[in-house]
Amino acid sequence: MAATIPLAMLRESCEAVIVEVNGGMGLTRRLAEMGFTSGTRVKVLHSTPPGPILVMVRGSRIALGRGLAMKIMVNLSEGI
Amino acid sequence: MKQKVENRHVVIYAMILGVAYVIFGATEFMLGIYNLFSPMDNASLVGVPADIFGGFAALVVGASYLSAISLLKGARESWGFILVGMLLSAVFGVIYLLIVCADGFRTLLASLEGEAWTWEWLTSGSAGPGLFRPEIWLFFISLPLAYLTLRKKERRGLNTPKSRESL
Amino acid sequence: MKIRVALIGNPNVGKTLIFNNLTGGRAHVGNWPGKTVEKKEGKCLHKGVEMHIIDLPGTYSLTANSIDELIARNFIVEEKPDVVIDIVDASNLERNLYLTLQLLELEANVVITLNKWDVAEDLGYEIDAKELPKLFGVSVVPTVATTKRGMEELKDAVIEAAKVKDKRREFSIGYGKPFDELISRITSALQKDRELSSKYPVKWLAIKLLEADEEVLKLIDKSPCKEEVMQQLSEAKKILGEDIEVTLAERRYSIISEALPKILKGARPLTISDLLDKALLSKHLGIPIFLALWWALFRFTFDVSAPFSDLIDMLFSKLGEIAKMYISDPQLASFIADGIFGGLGGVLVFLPPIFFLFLGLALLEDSGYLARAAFVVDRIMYKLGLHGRSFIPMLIGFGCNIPGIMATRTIDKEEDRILTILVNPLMSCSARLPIYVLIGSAVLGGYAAAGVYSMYVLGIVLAILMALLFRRVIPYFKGKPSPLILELPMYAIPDIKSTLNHMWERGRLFLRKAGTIIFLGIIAVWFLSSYPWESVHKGDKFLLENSYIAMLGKYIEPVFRPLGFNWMCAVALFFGFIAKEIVVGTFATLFGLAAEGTEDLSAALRSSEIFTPLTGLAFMAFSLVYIPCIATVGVIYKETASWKWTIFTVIYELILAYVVALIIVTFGRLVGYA
Repeated sequence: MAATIPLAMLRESCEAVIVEVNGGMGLTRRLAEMGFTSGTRVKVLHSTPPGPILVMVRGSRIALGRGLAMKIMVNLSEGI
Repeated sequence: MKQKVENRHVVIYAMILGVAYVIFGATEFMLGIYNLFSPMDNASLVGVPADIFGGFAALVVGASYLSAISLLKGARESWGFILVGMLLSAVFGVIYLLIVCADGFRTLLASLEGEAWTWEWLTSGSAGPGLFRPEIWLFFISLPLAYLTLRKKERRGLNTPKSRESL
Repeated sequence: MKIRVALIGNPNVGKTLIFNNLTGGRAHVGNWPGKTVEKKEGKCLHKGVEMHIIDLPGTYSLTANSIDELIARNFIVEEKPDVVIDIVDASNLERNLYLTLQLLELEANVVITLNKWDVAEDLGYEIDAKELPKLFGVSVVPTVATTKRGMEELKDAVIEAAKVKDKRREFSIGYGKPFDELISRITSALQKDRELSSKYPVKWLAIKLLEADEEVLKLIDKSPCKEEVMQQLSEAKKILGEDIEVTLAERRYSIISEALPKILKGARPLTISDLLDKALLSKHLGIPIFLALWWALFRFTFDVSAPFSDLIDMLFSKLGEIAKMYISDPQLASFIADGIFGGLGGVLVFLPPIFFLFLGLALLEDSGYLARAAFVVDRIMYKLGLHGRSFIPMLIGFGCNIPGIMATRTIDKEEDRILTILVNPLMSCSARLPIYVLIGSAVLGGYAAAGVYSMYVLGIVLAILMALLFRRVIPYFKGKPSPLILELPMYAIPDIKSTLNHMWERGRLFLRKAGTIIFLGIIAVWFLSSYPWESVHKGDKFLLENSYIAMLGKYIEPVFRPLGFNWMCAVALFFGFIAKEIVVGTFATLFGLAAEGTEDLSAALRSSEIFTPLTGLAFMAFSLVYIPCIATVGVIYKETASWKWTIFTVIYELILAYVVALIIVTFGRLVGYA
């Protein structure tokens, strides 16, 4: 019963799984190329609203603008 | 446990450094503001220059050390604050040292031009009170802390920089 | 045997270092034809084989959506290099392999190098370097570029790969149903065009067509098979829907994820990079630390470089004196001493601060900190209508606007880039500092330092205001800046050689571009102030009022009178267009002084009473804003590729400068100052 929330709303150290990316065509593709695809695990390393958010995805640290992070919908990981 | 005692020592050392930086930083900053708004140009305490931005920078270094207090609560990542504090101490310590040397170099050049040689540059110049500048000797004081911290790292088994690239 | 080898890889993988290792650091730098992106080429001789190495732009992917990617892709497809070295960051394997897959689809002759092998080891990763070749059918060479480990093996592998260039095994990614079938249908359709299929890898074309790749669509426009292909495509769209690109990207990553466990074992523990980030990216300390480091950079740039500037100044003054002693003809003597040596000295004296600035910036960049700074500053930049990546060019602009503007190339969206270029000249470059120092010490007395600081602050404030204004008012810029997607690399101790290289490359640019122009400008000033010779040099006196320069000044004086500037100021400002450094030099010439020793000059300025504290301040502000030096204007034109924006910059700055100076003077007079 995990709710789907935007990545931007996660707190630091939270882990989640990407459900979908709601960007316009160009954005979704760019994010996909950087590794942000459905089913991918991400972990929030730093989040200081309203600034950008730093996540660990596929072994690399990527900073995302908050607006972008609002468009990435995730499910919080249970445990693990 | 031996480890915990060591931890606390390091943190206390960092706290002391932090407080020192904050005090000096605040003093430099306020002296600088005073100078700015009064037409006099030379208010300065013994050995502490009037320097708005330099004072601010010293405050930042102090704040970084002081933030390490959360280590006592078990936040392992707060070692970062000590690391960054040390790096900043080094950056400013070295830069001010370089500035003192630059002043010396300029005195040398001036003496080649015919002006008299003095040793003044050691204690007064572009970096305020020269070698007496707080950031310089605070940097030296922070070196033992660096040694202690690195030893802790190795014992704890956190990644040691085996190669030049990984940090 | 001669072969052509291309280097490609994600940003931050160590490509530059590997390029330098292969070519011995000797590179020929040019531009990709028709683009502003840099092209680096070099040579490497190994076991009798001459390798011509081409450095392709660092990129995450090979779509048609950014200039860098297009350049890389077109080079591989059209120039068909003998070997493509794919530089993969072993400590970041998963994402790096995405580009690898794209290269294989492109049917490039790939040799993979797993660079940063040492970092991966330190992180506790165990990489099975034998599995990769099995999976992808290409050679894999582990390397540690910083210690040059693996470089010989790499060169061997490249030569081996070149020998089997045409016997390549076709690597195909299984995209699953229904993709594979659609792809093969389109492929068959394409194959009917003999010309196309002999020039390009058709399966790749098919995949790109499915992704609605604009460049490939253009390619088949004239092809006889176009109709059939378009028909297949529209059928495919009906079955697959709209987001084909994204689905294909996801599929590639699934392939990587499936293969990964065979290649990579081990997890990422807490690294020192994580620890450092805790403080450097912290909510409360992040920005203050950035400001403190910026201040450190400034101190380093100006104070530590000072003796070197002194040295250069001394050297050229001495040369001038010697010239005057030994040359009998007064005109020639003056030309050589004041014109040439004065000119050279005038340029070179600014070299030390510039190089120190670039050294500091290179250190910050190579250590990995600069990306963090962009992160921390982004939230503010965004609110100001600027892109997070705008801040590095602005920072560089404080040293010299020319490399600052060139640094905007990393900003992908054109609107953001041009906006950054437009406001960059408002960053008070190091050439303007002597002006502030001169006027400040002459007329501001004890408040001189405050006056100088305030100019920097003013520049920043104006830049912010202009950025906000342009975003609101000019339709081209309407809308928000593009969002930040930035990779933060691991921290690393900068490699001294690379950092110095970095510094040298940027400084060399300044020397070449600005240097020549400033030098010529100073000669021009000398000429205009020394002639007509007889009227200027009556007896022992130096009568500047009779020179051409004075005539020019008096002619433009009326424009400046409301601001309280006289003809000398007008002349100085006029020459400041050529190079801001010349403004001080012009004043020196105007007061008949050979060298620019500031104490004498500022005393002369004070006693001549040209400036009151108020008008002095206004003059400083005017010189901050008015127009960038001609070299900068040239660079603006080159980077924007548009006369429109270049002229716009010149005009808006002139107007802004006048307005700001006027406001200062008017306000000051109202409050009671002269």
